[in-house]
Amino acid sequence: MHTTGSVASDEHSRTGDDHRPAVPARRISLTDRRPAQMTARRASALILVGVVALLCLPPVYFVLDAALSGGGIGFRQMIQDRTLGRTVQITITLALGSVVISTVLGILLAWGAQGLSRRNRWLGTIPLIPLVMPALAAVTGFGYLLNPSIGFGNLLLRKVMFWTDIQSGPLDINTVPFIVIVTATLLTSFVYLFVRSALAQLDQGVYDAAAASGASPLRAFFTIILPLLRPSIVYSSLTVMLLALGQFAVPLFLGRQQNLNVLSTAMYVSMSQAPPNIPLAAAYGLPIVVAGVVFLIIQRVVLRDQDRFAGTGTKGAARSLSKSGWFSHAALVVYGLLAVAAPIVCLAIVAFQPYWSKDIVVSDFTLDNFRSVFDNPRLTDAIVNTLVYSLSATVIAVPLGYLCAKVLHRRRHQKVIANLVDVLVSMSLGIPAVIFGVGFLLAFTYGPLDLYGRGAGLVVVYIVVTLPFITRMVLVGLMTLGTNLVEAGGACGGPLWRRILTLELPMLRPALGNAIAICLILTAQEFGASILVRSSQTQVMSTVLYDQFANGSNSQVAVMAFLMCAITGIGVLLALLIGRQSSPKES
Amino acid sequence: MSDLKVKDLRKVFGRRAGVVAIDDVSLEVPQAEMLVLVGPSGCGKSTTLRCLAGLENPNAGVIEFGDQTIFDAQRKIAVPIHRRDIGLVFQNYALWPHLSGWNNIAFPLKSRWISRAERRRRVGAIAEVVDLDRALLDKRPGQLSGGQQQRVALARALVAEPKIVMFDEPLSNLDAALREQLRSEIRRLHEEIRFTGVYVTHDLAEAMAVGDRVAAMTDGAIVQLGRPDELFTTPATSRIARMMGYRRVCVITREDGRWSGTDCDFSGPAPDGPATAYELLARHDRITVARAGAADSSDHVHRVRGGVVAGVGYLGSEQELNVDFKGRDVRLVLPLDRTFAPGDRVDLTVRVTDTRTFPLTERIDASTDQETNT
Repeated sequence: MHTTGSVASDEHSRTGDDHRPAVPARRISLTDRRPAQMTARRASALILVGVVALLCLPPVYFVLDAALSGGGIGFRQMIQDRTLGRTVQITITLALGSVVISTVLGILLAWGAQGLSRRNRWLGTIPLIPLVMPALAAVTGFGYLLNPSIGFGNLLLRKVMFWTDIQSGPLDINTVPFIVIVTATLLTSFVYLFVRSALAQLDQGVYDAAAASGASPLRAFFTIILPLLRPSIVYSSLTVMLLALGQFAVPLFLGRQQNLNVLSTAMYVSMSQAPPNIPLAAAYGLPIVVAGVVFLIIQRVVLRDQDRFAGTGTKGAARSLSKSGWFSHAALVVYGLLAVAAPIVCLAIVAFQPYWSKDIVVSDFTLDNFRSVFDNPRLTDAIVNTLVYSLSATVIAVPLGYLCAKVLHRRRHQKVIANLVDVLVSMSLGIPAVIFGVGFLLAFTYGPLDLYGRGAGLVVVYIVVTLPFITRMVLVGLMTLGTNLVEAGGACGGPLWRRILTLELPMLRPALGNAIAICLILTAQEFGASILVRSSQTQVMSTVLYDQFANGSNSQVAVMAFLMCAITGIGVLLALLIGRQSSPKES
Repeated sequence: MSDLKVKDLRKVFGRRAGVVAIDDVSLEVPQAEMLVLVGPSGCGKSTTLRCLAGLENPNAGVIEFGDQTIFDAQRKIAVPIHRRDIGLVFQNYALWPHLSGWNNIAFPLKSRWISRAERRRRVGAIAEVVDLDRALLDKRPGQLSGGQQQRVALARALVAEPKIVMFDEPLSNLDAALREQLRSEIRRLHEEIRFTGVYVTHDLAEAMAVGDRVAAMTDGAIVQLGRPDELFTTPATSRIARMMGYRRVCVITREDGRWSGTDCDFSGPAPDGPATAYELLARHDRITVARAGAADSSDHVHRVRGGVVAGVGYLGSEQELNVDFKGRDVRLVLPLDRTFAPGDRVDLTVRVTDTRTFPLTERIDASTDQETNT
C-alpha cells in the first residue's frame, strides 16, 4: 500500500547494513489519508443526508404548506373556534403538569433505585415497564380502573367509609387532572431512565465527600447530586415536555367523550371531518411544531456546557451512592402497583369477563372474547399487519440509524454533514407523531410518492418516528466503545467493511439489541401517525383498538390491548437475546 | 481535635464465603498524631479507613473519637458519616465539578451552618495554609491542575477543624515529583495544625515521610505498629521486611543439628525458633556485589556465590542490577560507579548484622522473591 508524499532530503539507507541498497526515505504527512477514501466517505454521508431528508422533510413541508395555504385560512378558522382557548389551556396544562409530576417522580424513583440492595435490585426495573407497555393498553387499563361509574378502582373506593353512599366516582378519569396524571405516570419512565443512567455514571466519591463534609443525606442530595444531574434532568424534562405537548392517545381516549381537546386531538377531529379540513388541522399542528423546535434548541443550548458537570475520578461505581430506605422501596412498589399492575389487572378482568361489568365473578371468566378477536378477520389482519410493518420498519430503520450514528460519531471530521443529520434525525423527536401522520397523509396523497393505503406508507412513517431513538441508542454504544478498539482494527489493516462486520458490529451488539427492541416496541404501539395514515387495508392493532373503543366494544379492546402487550414483550425478549454479548470464541 | 480508639474491629464482605477484610483490628491514635496504615492492595487498610469514616459498617468492634462512641456493634451505635465531624481526603479528590474551588472548600462550613463572614475568614485562612492562590479559588476543579485540585481537597478536609482527618491514598493519582512535593506539604500541615490523622497508602516512602507511627497491615490485620524507623530497622515479619525493601539473600536449613545455607555460605548465628528452614533478608543497599571471587571473605558476612548478571537498568542516580542465582532472580540497586554488564559472574555478600532472619513461608516465590497470590 503506497501513500503519497514528498521525498525527504535525507536519502541514506536506514538499515545498519551497508550491503543493502539505500532505500529512498519519504516524508509522510501527519494526516496521511487517501483522497479517494475521503471522497467516498463524504459522498456516502451526503447520500445518507439525502435519504434521511427525503424521509423527514416532506411531511413537515406539507404541514407547513397546508397551514399557510389560502392566505392562512386554517389559522383564521382556528381563531374563530370558540373552544380554542380551552384547547390551548388544556394542552399547556397537560405539558407543564406532566413535566412537573414526571420529573419529580422520575428523580425520586431513580434515586431510590440506585441504593437498592442486590436482593431487591429487581424493583429498579418497575419504573421501566411503562416504556415497554403499549400506551393504548395502559390508557384503556386506566379507563377500566377509574371510570366514574363502573371503574374497578372507584368500586373499591366506594366500599370505603367516606364514599359508600355515592353512585359515581369519587374519581373521574375523564377529567383534565387525570389526563395529566395518566400522561405523567407513563412519561415518568423517560425521566427515570435518563436520571438513573446519569446516577450510575456519577463518581461515588462526590456523595461520600459531601457526607464526610457534614452534609445530611437530604442536603447532599439537593446541593450536590441534583446539580450534577442537571444535564440528564434537563434533557429528560424537555423530552417529556415535547412528548406531552404532542400527546395524542391519552387525551383522545380519556377526553374526547367530555369534549376535552388538546391541539393534537383537535387536529385529528379536523382530519376526521368529511371532507377533512386540512388547513385547520395543519394550523392546530403548527404551534406544536414551533414549540418542538424551540425546545430542541433550548435543549442544545442548555446542554452545551456539559463539561461543568463532568467530575474527575472513577465513574460507574459498583457501590450505590447511598443506601435506599424503606420509603424508597415503598415508593417503587406503590408506583408499580398503581402505574403497572392496576391497569394490567383491569385489562385482564375485562378481557376475561363476558362483558365489562362491576361484578367480578371469576367463575364467569371466559375465553370467548379472545376467540371473537381471532375469529374476526379484520382484527387478525391488523395483528399480522402490525407484525409485518414493525419488522419491516426495524429491518430498515436500525441500519439507517446505525449509519446516522456513525456520521454523528465522526462529527469532528465532517461537522456540516453531521449537524445536518443531527437536525434531520431530531426532527421527529421534536415533532409529535400525529403531525407526521398529517404530513405523511398529505405527502402520500399529494406528493410524488403514492403510498396512501399501502403498507409501505406505514413502514415509512414508522422509520421516521423511530429513527431518533435508534440513532441515539447506537451513538451511545459507539461512544461507550471508544475509538481505541476500532483504531486497533484499522492498525491491523484490511478493508473497512470487514472491520465493521467482524469487529464493530459484534461489539455493538448490546446497543443494537436495544435499538431493535425500542424499534419493535415503538412501532408495535404507534398510534398517533397510524390513525391518520391507515386505510381499511392497512389497519394495525392500535387503530383497530381505537375503532373498537369508539364502538364501545370494551371486551375486544381489552383483548387487543393484551395482545399488544404480548407482542411488545416478545419483541423485547427477542432483542435482549440478540443484544446479549456472547463470550469471545477462538476462530 | 480528638484521639481515636479502635477495638476489635471486624469487617466481612459477603454472606456465605465471606471475605474477612478487617480481622479484629485494634489501635489507638493519640491526639495530634498522624498514624499511617500501609500495606499491599487488599490488606484492609482502605476498608479500615472507610469504617472509621462511616462509609462502611463494620460487623463488630468499637470506634471512639475522644469521649464519643462513634460505632459499637454490640450496643448498636452507628453515628452516620455526616455527624462524625471528620475530614476526608480522597484518592481522586472527589471535588464537586459544578462548584468553584472556594465553594468546595466552604461546603463543610455551610453544612455546619457557619456564618458567611466566618466562612469567608476561614476559607481564606486555610487557602493560605495550603498555599492556594486566591485567584485559583474562583476556578472550577476542571480548570485546575492535579496538584491544585489536591490542595483544594486538603483545604476542604481541614477547614472545619474536624476531630479526625483521614487520607485515603491522596497522592496516588499524582506524578512522582508532585507526590514528593505534596507529601512534604501534608507533613508540614500536620506539624503546623497538629490535627489527628489517619493516612492510608501503599507507598512505603510516603508512609515513612508522613507518619508519626506506621501500622503495617496484611490480610486484614495489623502485623506491626511502631515508629517508621522501628519498622525499617526491625521489621516483624518477612512480608513487612519486603515492604521495607528487604531482599532475600539466601535460605538456610538444619541438617544433622547444623545450619547451613542451601545456596550460600552461612556465617551464623543459628536462628531462634522451631522452624526447620529460614530465609535471610537484607536491605538492598546493604547487599554488596562483587565480581566472582573478589567478594569479602571475612567471617562476619554471608556469601552467595555463582550469580550471573542478567540485566542492568539505568535509574538516573542509581542503577538496577538483576542477578540470576541458579534460577533465582535477585534485584539490587547500586550506585552508578559500580559497572557491571550482562553475563558478568558476581558474588553477593551481606554483613551478618545487616540481615534479618524469618521462617521460610511457602508463599514466597523462590525464583522472584515475590509473594505468590494465594
